[in-house]
Amino acid sequence: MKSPPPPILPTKLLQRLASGPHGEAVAGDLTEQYQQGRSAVWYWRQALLAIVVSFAKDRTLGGPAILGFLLVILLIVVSVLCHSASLGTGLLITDLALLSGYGAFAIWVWRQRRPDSRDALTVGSQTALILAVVLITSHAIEWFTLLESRTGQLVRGAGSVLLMLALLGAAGSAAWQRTRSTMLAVIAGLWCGSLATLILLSFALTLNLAFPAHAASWLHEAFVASGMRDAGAFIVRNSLEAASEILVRMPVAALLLGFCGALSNALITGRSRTVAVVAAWFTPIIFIAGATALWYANSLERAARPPFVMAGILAAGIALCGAHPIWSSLSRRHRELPHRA
Amino acid sequence: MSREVLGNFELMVMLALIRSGDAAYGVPISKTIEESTRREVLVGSVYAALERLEEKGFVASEVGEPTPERGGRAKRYFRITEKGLRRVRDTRSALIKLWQGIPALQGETR
Repeated sequence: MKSPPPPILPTKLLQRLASGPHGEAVAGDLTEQYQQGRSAVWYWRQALLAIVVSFAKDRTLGGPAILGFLLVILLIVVSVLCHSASLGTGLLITDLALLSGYGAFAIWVWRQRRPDSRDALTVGSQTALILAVVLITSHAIEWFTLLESRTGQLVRGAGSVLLMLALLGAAGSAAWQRTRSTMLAVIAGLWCGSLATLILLSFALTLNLAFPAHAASWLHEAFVASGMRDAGAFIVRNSLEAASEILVRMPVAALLLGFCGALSNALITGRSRTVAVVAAWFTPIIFIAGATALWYANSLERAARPPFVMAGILAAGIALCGAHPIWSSLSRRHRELPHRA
Repeated sequence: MSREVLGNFELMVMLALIRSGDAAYGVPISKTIEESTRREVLVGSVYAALERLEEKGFVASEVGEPTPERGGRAKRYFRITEKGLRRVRDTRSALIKLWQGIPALQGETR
């Protein structure tokens, strides 16, 4: 007698969602064992856990990013539903449209099979995890420290931005070093920024939903100034505005800095050691000039700050993009030097 | 000894692979581990371990013929490499060294 086929839905999910070189073999093994008498519950459990394992072992983090994208959408929808009467639809549609781009990118990353692409994306995902820790720490300090001094704000704000510039540049530089492809380096930088943004948004939106009273006290001054009557709606609006801001800015910064990181590495690699040493001396000076411009901007009135902030970020960004290529070039040459007796 | 030893699950997969001989693919490897540990094994985890071991060069694999009882899907046969066999021996030596000379464990076989 012919055995019944295994449940269709977990089989389809396994075929669609489980990545890796052995995806077909896993599905075949489960079917074979089901035909030998394993239960449907066993089949469902094995298929779903095989998908989870496949997601977890994907070093590009494409699968988890898809889940992160869905989580952010869910958090936004839940937040808006709680205060739908007080919100327009324009902001929500903008955020969802921007997020759909992130979702499409995550699916593209998840489906990549070429080894060089996966190498570059793995660099991007590893750097993204560090960047996410930086951004989450900065946000948590800002959120939980209600009375932060101006100097504290400057150190936290500028520190997190500068670290972000350094990490996006490092993602591009390290990806170029592995693949020797500027295009893949830029994609690695973009993936680094996109993944970190999804993690940050998941964290920030969860905080707002979990601690609404704290969010209200945190944004009290801005709420009073807004003229709105519903504090909850104001928090949601503020979250959506902040989300759209980072969803637009991060890819632009990531593209630019990923390219700068790759370019710096391409310029330094293969040249004489003197070039790397000169760059190592010259780069901190550019960085200090940029940091000084940011510090000076903080002492000015808000309206007078933009040129100094832009100049400061540009100078510091250029210097930080050079950090990884210089460090890797000098350390590689140090390893290559013959050991003297 | 500077070379790292295999992890617990990776070692079990390698031993089950050796025991299964020429017909080593996911099903017999999983069943061998299940019989020795008396616990359900996740087929996905077995393949994840095999993938890691393959990347390290400890096992090699090749695709077999598709069969009807697998829904027309092919088996993937695995075999241990010389490098993998050396790593199993190294791990065994390291574990024996750790095992020896512990009074509380003397005479135990299970």
